[in-house]
Amino acid sequence: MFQYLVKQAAASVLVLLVVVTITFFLIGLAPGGLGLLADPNMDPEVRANILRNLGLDQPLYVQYLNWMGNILQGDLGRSFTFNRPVLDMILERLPATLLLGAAALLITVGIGFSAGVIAARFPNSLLDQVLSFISFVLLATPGFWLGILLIIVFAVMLGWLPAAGMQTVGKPFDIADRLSYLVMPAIVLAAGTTAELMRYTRSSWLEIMNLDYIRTARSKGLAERVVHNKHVLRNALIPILTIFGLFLPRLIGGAAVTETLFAWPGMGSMAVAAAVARDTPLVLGITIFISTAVILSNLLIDVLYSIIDPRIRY
Amino acid sequence: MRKQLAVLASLALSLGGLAQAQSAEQPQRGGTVQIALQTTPGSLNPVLPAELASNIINWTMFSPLTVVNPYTNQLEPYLAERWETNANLTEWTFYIRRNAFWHDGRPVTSEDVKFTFDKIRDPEEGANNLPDFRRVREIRTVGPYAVKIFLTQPDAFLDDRLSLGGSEILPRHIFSQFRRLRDATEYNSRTPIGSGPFKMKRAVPGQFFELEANPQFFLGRPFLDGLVFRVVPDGNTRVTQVLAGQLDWIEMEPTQIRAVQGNPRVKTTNFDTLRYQIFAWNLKNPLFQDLKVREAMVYAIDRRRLLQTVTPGFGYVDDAFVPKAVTWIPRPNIQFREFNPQRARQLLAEAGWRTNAQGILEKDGKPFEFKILVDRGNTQREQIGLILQQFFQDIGMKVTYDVAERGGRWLQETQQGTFETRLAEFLMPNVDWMQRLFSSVGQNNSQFYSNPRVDNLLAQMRATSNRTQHANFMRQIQEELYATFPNIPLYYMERILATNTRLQGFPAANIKDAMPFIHRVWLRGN
Repeated sequence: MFQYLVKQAAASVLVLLVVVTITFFLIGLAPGGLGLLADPNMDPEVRANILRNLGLDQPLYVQYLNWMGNILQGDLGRSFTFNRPVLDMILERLPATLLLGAAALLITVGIGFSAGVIAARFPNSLLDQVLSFISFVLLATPGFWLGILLIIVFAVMLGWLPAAGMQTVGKPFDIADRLSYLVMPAIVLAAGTTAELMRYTRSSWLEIMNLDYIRTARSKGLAERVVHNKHVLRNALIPILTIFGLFLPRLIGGAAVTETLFAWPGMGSMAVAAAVARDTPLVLGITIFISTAVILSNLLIDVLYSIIDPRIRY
Repeated sequence: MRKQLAVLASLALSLGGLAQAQSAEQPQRGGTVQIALQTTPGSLNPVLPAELASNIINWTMFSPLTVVNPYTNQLEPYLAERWETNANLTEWTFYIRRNAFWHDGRPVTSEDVKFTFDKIRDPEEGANNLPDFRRVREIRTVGPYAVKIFLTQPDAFLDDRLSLGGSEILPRHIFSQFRRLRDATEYNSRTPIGSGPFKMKRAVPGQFFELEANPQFFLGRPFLDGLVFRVVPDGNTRVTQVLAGQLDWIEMEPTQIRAVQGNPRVKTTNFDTLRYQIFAWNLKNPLFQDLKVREAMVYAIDRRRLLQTVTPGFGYVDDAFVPKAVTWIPRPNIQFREFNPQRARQLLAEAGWRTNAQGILEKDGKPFEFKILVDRGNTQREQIGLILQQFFQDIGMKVTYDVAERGGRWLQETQQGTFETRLAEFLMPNVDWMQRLFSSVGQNNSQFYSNPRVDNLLAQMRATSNRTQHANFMRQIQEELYATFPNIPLYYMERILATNTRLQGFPAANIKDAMPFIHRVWLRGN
C-alpha cells in the first residue's frame, strides 16, 4: 500500500507538471491579451511599460522558464491584475470555497444517498417514482436558472434569505447570519450532484440485490434489515465511491456559475475572472490547486476502496 | 495676461443642477448605501492602471485637482480651489485647498501634488496617465499650497485632462517609503489613504469594501455615514439584490427594466452615458475616400430602427458628435440624416458605382466589397454588425461580418490600421477628446481622419483656455465633421439606474462619475 502511494505520488507530480505546462501555453497562445490592455485608446508607451513590468515583453518560453523557476522555489508569483501574491489570493478564497463545497457535499451525501437507498428498497413503488421524477428534474435544471428562481422566491418575494454575498456587512460574526447566506448556493451547487448520486446509489443497490450472495443471505433467513445494512451497503458503496471521487474536485475547485450568481467569494468565480482577464499567474495558481485536489481525492478514493473491499489490494 | 477661471459661475451652475436633481426636501444625515461592483477592484491606487470597479471605489476616496460635475457636465474645482495659466498656456498654477486633509489627518500640500505628478511622468511606474504629462517640463511647488506646472508647449486642456481619473493626488508621506507605487501592496489592495469624501474602514477583497464618511472632507462632511461596495459579478443577481433591498444603487441594462418596474422599493432613472456607438471607416482605404460614398452609406442605415432593435429604444440618434447632455456646448446647426436608400443609391451612382449582373456595385471592374470588424462578446455590437451588413447589402455592397477577440485581432487591427471598417464605442467627455479623436495627429484618431479645417479649428481652440470660446469652437468643429463624415454615429447610448426609493440627491449619470459628488447623496427616513 505504502509503495503504491509513493508511486502514485511520483506520477502525480508528473501529471501536475503536464497540466500546468499545457495551461500556461494555452493561455499564452489564446487569442486576446491581458484584460488591462484591451483599451484601444491606451497609449503605446503605457502599454509597453505594463508589458515590461509584468515580464510579458519576453518570448513565451522565457516567461515559462521564469515562472517555472519561481514555482520550484515555492513562489506562485503575483497576479497581473491585482499585483498581489497569488498564494495569498487563493488562501483568501479557500475558506469560502471549502465551506460551500462541504455544505454541498453534506446535502449530496445526506439526501442523495438516502433517497437512492429508499428508492432501491422499494423499487417501482410510488415513492421510487416520485424520487426518480425529482432527480430527473434536478438533473435537467441548469444551476443558474435554479439559482435565480430561488433568489426570486426566497430573497425577493418572501424575504427570508439574503440574495447574495457571504455575510451581512458591519455585523459581527453570527452563525445564523452566515448560514442564511450559505443555504441557497449550497442547494444550487448540490442539486445536480444529489440527483446523480441518488441515481447511482439506486442502480448500484438494485444490482447488488440481485446477486447470488444476497439470495443466499435471504435464504438463510436473515432479516431484510440485516441483509441491506450488512451485505448490500458495503458492496454498493464501491461504485458510489467512484462517483464520489469525481464529485470531490468539482466541489473543492469551486463552482464558477453558482459562485458568480450568489456573489460567493470562492475560487471558482476568481478563476473565471482571472481567465477572462488573462491573468496567467492567477489562472496557473488556481490550476495547480485544483489539480492537486483532483489527484489527492483520487488517491483518497483508492485508499477507501481497499478499506471497503478486502478483494482490492495494492 | 493671466486668466482666472470662472469658478463661481460653475459652482452656481452645479448647485442649480443639484437642486433640479432632488426635491425641495432638506437632506438628512446618516445611513449606509450599498453599491455593486461587477468585479473585485484590481487596484485601490488610482494612478495605477485599473478597471471600472477600481475607478468607482477610488473616486470616493481620492481627489483629483479638477472634476467634471455629473449634475452639469461642467469642469469644476475639486482639490484645487482655483487655477490660472500664463498668456501662452505654458505655465499652469493650481492652488490647493487649505482645508484638505489625508484620511490619517495630515494636510494635503503642494508636495503631494508634485510627488504624484512626478510619479505619473516616470515611465518606470507604468501609470495610466503618462501621455497626459508628456508636455510637462517641470513641476515646482510654490509654497505649501500652490504648484506650478511648466509645459514644453502650450496646452489649453490640462485642467480638463486632470479631471478624467488616473491623476488623483497620492499621499507622499506614505509612498516615499516605497521605491515604486506598485510596491505598496497593502495600501494598493486594502488600506488606501486618500483625501476624498469617504475613507476605507474594512476591505475584504472579493467580497466587500466598507467605507465611512470622512468628517474632514474639504467640501463638507458627506450626508451618508457609510458606503458598502459589494462585489456582485452577475447582472441578474444585482437586480434581484436591489429588489430584495440588499443593494441601493445599480446600473442596469435596458432589457432588465421590466424586472423592477412597479416595485415600490425601486426607482429607475435613465441617463445619457455620453457614449455612442459608431461605424468607422479606415479612411486610408481608397474605397472610402470619396465623400459621396460615405454620405451614401450614412443614408443606407435606418438608425432609428437599429436603435429600436438593439437597445431596445434606450438612447437616441443624432448626427452631432457631442452628447446632448453636455449642455454647455451649443448644438451645431445640423439636421439628422434620415434613412433614405434611394438617396444612397443616387449618391453612389454619382460617384461612378454601377450595379453589375450579380447585383453588386462595381467601379472600374472592382466590386464594392469590405469587411466590418466587430469585437466578440459585445452583444450590442455583434447585433449592429449583422444589421449593418444587411443595410449595406440592400444598396448593393458585398459585406463580410468579421468578428474577432477584442484583446486580440480587433485591438491589433485597430492599432495597426489594417481594418477596413469597424464598430466601436466613442466617448466625448471633454474638449480634449475632440482633439484626440478628430485631429489628423490625434492619439486616438484610429479612423485616420484628416481635415485641415478641423485641424485649424482645433489649433485655435488649443490656443485659449476660455470656456465660452471652447464651446463655440466645439460647435463649429461638429458642423465641419457633419459635412465630411469621419465616421457614422449610430446612436447615443442610455443606461438605467435602479435605486432604492430612499436614495436622494444622486445625479442622472453613471455610478463612477457620480462618486466624486457622493457627499451630496443622502438617504430619506433615517
